[in-house]
Amino acid sequence: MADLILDQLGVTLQGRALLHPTSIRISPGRFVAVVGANGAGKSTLLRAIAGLTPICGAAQYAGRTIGSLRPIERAQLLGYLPQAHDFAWAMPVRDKVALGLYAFGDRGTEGGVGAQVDMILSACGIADLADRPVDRLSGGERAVVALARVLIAQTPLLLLDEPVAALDIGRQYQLLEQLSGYCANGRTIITILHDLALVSQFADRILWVDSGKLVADTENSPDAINTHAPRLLGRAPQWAKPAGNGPATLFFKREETE
Amino acid sequence: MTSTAPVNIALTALILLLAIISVMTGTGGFDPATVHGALTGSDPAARIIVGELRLPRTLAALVVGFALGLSGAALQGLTRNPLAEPGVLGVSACATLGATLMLYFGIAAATPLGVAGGAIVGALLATALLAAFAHRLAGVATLILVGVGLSSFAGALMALLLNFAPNPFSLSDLINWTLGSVANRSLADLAIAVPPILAGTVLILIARRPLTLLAIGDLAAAAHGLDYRRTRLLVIGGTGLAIGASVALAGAVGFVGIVAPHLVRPWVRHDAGRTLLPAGLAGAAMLMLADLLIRLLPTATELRLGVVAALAGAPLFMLIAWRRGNSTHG
Repeated sequence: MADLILDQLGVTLQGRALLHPTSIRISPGRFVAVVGANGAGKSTLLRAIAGLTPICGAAQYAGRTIGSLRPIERAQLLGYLPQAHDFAWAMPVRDKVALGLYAFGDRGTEGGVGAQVDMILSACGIADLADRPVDRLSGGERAVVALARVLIAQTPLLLLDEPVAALDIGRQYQLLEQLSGYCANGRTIITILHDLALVSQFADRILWVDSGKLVADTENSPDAINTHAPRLLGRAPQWAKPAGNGPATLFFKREETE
Repeated sequence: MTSTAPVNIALTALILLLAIISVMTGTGGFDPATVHGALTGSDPAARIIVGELRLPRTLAALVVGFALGLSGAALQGLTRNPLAEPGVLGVSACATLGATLMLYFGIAAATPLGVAGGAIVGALLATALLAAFAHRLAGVATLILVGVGLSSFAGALMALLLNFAPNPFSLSDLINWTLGSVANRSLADLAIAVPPILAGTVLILIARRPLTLLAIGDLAAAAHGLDYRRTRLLVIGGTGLAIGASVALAGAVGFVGIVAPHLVRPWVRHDAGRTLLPAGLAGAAMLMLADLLIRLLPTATELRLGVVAALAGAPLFMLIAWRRGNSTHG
């Protein structure tokens, strides 16, 4: 019964509501995409759930109120990937990823830190970067290292702020496929995604956010995307049927200029 | 995950070696005969020279260098900035101001703990002020500018005190603090400075793992279980105690806090937490070496320790700043 329940969860900064009180329930094993325009409040929603910003209302996970947990307990329960990645010091990738096990002590969760690091590095396709200092990585590589650091803790709940935005297409699909596998094993993922083609292929459920409000909470379907995307993102999606069988894929069309 | 033990052992051995040479070196140069005389008891004067001049001086360089190296590493870990250091950030200047205030109001004359107390309070206030803005000071320029501002402000207040002093205290005292020196310290001076430095060391070392985690930024670190407020308190309290006490003992010695962590970082895989202890030891070795050079160099009047440290440290500071500036553009 590891449901995630938001009970009137809201964020107010200096009298301005960054996130209006929101109440939803998300059952385990769901891949939830958060979609909205820039500045709509998606990151605020994620930080509020993660207990990393002052909130009103509450977020509960597995029967525990996240906001009242000690930082260590919270980190054992949920993983949070911020949008910006800070890479102070020239630590090797291996050491940086191992920091994800901080809340589990020096020994990690199982089988020793070294083995866990090796496992997650190859799962994320960056085993070859293990000993590279992080200050010599490209932007995309840093994003994967940051994601690996969050994934290594194997928390049942993952809150990811644009995990694949900086990555090449191959990596985007590889990592989202991996995350889908996690959901199949009962873990819950809430992730901000801008690419609706990816959302349409990977999400189970979509939270549509606009001006600090959760304006719609839908299952992932072409109808839902057709309804909300034009209103929130200002552009209507197109759908292309593949040659053989299979679901239609989403794309956006460039407007003709005269 | 490599152990830092070999680095710590090597640095400790170096410190012991330097301590032995330092005790054997007088203000006139290398002179092991006096130590021999003191140990065999054949020469009472030698006993006084070694026990009350050379030994306290050696120990003072050791503990002050340790406090500077350790505090530099801790402040760098907290601010995630390799240029953070008690001198550059104005912590030492504020400690000096605190000590001067104690002299001005005559509290230093009333109790031997006055100067150390004032210096510690000054250092704590400066560190707390910096830490309060730490999240806004991640950029090199901002952090250094705030430090420069803090230093200048403390310096101006000190000049003001000197101007208005009804009973002008010795100007040389002030110069001692602003330039830094470990000459003519007594074991009693050490007895006042060492406990706060030890307490500060303990506080800072408690923050070892959190400082390592902070490398990923405070938001990400908080998500991974870091108690940022507690870490900040430990580093503020620790550096405030250690720097306050070391300024009271030896004055404001600059740049050791930048150079020492920079030297040991490659040996500890650039891990901010693992940098702490080796940086302290490297700082101790550096200051002992500098103090040794001062005594061995044939200068007419003895050079100030802080001057030597700055002559060696400032160019390296600029080199790190230049390199960092280049890498952030890449």
